[in-house]
Amino acid sequence: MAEPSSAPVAPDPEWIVGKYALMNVRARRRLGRTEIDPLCWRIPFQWQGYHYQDHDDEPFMLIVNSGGGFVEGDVAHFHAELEPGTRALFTTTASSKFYKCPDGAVSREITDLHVGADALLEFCPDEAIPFARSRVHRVNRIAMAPSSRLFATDMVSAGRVHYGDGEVFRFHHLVSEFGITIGGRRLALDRLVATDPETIAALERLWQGRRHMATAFGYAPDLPAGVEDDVHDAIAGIDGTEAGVTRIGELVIVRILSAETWQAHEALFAAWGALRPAIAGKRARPILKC
Amino acid sequence: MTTDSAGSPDRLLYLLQVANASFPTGAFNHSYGFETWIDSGALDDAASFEGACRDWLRYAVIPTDGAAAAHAHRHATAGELDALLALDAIVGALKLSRESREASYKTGRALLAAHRDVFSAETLAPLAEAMRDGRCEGHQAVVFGAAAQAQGIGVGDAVLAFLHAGLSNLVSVGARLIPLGQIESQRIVREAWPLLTGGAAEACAMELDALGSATAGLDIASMRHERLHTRLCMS
Repeated sequence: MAEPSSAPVAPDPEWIVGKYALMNVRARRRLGRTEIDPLCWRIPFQWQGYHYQDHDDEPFMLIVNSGGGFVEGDVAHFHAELEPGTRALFTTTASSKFYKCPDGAVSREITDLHVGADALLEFCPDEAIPFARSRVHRVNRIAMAPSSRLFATDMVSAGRVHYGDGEVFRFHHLVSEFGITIGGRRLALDRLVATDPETIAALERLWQGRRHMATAFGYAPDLPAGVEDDVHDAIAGIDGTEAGVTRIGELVIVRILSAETWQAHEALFAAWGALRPAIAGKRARPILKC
Repeated sequence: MTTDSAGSPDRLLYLLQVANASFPTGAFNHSYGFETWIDSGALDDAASFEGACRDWLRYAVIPTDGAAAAHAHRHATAGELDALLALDAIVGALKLSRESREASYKTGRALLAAHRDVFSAETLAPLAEAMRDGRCEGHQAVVFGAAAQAQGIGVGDAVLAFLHAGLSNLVSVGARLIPLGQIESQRIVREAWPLLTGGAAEACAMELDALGSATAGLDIASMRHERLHTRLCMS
């Protein structure tokens, strides 16, 4: 995993308009709050601003991809830099849906987030859904300054689990990577590589019969002792889920497997509820998207 | 089947010794989350344990530590200390539970210490120094690959021995915890030979950016192990 650059990504003239979504944003302290500047974007990403859902200085930005999903060969590349001292929450309008790739090309979702000193990033996207016969490559890279703070989630579903007879683990290629570095040092690298039929078929067993895998990461340089136990208590007993929590230094990792989408969402929210006061200094609240 | 260390009794003897459960790495103390499953009753006989072992090997060890051991061997061959340290960081980052990460570097450090005392491998001194300086943690797969290279073991045989040692240690843990008979345990290892040889070849061919684990259920079991009331293993 290469360290993501904080410099905006320049569009390549070779990129086909409409096939390569790109958005560069930068969070800055201005007028006593964080504001998000759109540096440049290409369709189907759309700039629709941001709002202050917590009624404080932290903007919430919905990453809007008007494409509605990833057709074969589509790329969506979101790049954000949080300047020192800023705080911002990024989420998506809906799940990332990856459609079938009958000609063998791969659809890509790339997220590069650069978090400056004393900045707070909350990254809570919806789940990725690889449809039957899709070929998917996801890369999420978060580069943090040692004094920065983070709550981030990642979730992958087995497919359209309630479509027809179900499309569970029917994709043809899935690489899903979520990496975090602190001060250039690798802190966590969650990489699922399921690109052969044997591995894809084994996933249902390896996921304990569940159909959704979700992971939450919480980091702060001053994470209180025992907060991982609070997370453990918060996520315990949610219907249909199997979950665990661990702490490695100042990083808390929560792994969740669930039968239904809402169960994973509930567990992620419970983890956020336990971690957010320590990381962001405020309580978690449901993120409103419409 | 790889045979690139064939023809040298010393090399074969080295592999037999360093991959033996009695070589003091502490690996026999680690279940990597399996104790959670055994405690819950999810694994309660030879068949269920064997299936989980094979999944662990195929979807967790071969595409992470197995491949890392191969890369470590090659970096050691080329004298690429910085690449070795970067690889060590990747190996650590791939382990998402505290206990599995600690198990990896604790056994790696123990392996290096024992290796130094038994085989006095001077070529490992830069890696040992980096571990002492805190420039790397010293994960087992990295140390094993580099150490085997220092002894003239071919990369294929090194990875095969690494995988075999890992499976043998885990089976010995299962034999104690479930419990299993000695013959049942040895049969599990024997039945895994094709998986071990095929896995070694696969690991040797794996690019660095393809390293990854698919065993989310075991990640959770390893995390939950931290909170088991009664534990015989460190992980």
